[in-house]
Amino acid sequence: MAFLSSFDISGYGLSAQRVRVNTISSNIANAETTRTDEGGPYRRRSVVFQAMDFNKVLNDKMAKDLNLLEYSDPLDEGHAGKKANPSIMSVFVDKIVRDDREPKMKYEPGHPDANAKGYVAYPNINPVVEMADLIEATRAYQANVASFQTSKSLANSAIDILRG
Amino acid sequence: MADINQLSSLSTQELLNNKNSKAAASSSGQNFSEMLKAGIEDVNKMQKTSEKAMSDIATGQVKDLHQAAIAIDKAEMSMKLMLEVRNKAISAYKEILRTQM
Repeated sequence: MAFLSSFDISGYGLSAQRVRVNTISSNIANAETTRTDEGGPYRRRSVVFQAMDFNKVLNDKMAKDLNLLEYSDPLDEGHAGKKANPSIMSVFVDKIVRDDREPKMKYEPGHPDANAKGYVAYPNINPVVEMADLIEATRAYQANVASFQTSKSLANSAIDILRG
Repeated sequence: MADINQLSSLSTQELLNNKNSKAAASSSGQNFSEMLKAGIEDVNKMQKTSEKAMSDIATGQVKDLHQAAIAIDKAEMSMKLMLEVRNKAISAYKEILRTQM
């Protein structure tokens, strides 16, 4: 049923934000991890989101049938294109990227993972940054829930028209 | 769901022109009972999805809790819409029954 499709758009957003929360949790959990399957200390992960055509048929038809004004390009940037394309987009996690910054070296000669000079490579993770990211992801999740609730109450009011 | 625009072809003038009701039904492509049936099948499908979502929650197989919540909400909304359409159809039927002969 088409009037329920906005539920799915919020659903994709919720799923994407949950993957982000999981990734940040993994960063926090492994902030002191010195051993991984890939070798060396744990490296920070972050997610990359990508927009996707929620309903390609509908989007193509809207772009073709609606006589829309071109996008204005006052600064002549040109990179976004001027053709009006009112696509309804949803989101998914395109990939999870690894942050290959230099690890933090700590002098701990007694540690089993210490190198010849007695330094241990620890992940270059700042817990403060991770917590800030976590708050952002939580708020984004809540925003998706709010938009879901709005579309639900819209559907409810539409059904109420029938009752009247 | 059936194309709601087909309803617009059911104007009084057209019904008067086509006294044969069978011809009117075929000209609009799909008659009302078929449309209703398709709608109810849609509702039934969503109810089944929601039932599966609930059993997935109970058995701990659900990956994302919100997906179950969305499936259940969808089933709820489509059920509500179906009930309202049913109420409308029944009230129209009752109205016709009350016609004085």
